[in-house]
Amino acid sequence: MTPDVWADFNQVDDDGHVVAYLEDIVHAERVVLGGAVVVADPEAKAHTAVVVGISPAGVVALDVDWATQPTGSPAGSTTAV
Amino acid sequence: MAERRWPKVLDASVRERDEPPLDDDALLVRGGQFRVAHVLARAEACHRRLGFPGVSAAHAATGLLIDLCEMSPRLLDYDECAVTTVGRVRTRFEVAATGATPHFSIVLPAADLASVRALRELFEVGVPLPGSGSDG
Repeated sequence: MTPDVWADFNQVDDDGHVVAYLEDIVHAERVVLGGAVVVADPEAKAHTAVVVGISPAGVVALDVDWATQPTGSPAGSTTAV
Repeated sequence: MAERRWPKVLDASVRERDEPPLDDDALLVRGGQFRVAHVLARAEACHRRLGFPGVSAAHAATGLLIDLCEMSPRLLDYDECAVTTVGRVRTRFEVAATGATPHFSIVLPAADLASVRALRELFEVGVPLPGSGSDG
């Protein structure tokens, strides 16, 4: 299973939301404002998140639920960038 | 509104926090293995989208990883991390207070392989994180 969007969990925006970029999106149809997505860092666990922002510059803000781990989600680096 | 007291590092649209520069002995932590290809890809995307070639890290204010992980539980998703001091990074690169505390951006002169390799040399890699099962 691939996530809907890749991200670097080290990177957060001013509101503490994880930052992803347009080129990180795998399933574009799911990455809509307010939508729930599966987000993964190639070196970490996957989680569910809500898309809370998409900027004109192609920056996606994700409110990640760190307590969740989607079933069948990637555990890390095998599909790394 | 108070004027900015601290110098800006970035000439970009990203807002820098108005706070004093970190001390040279302050710890910076980046979750993960610090694989050069991955970090380079992030720096390139950051440059494209945010206007500067940055690499994200977190400041461990108390100097203890366990305290940083309590503040930023996202780091616990990694099995290991890379650690350095601000002073070491500043020998080659600039450090900007961006995003939400404790996030910082290490600003590269360019998003290129040489810069990312040079940055990796400044980090101690393979440091276990609390709860990773290899932290003793």
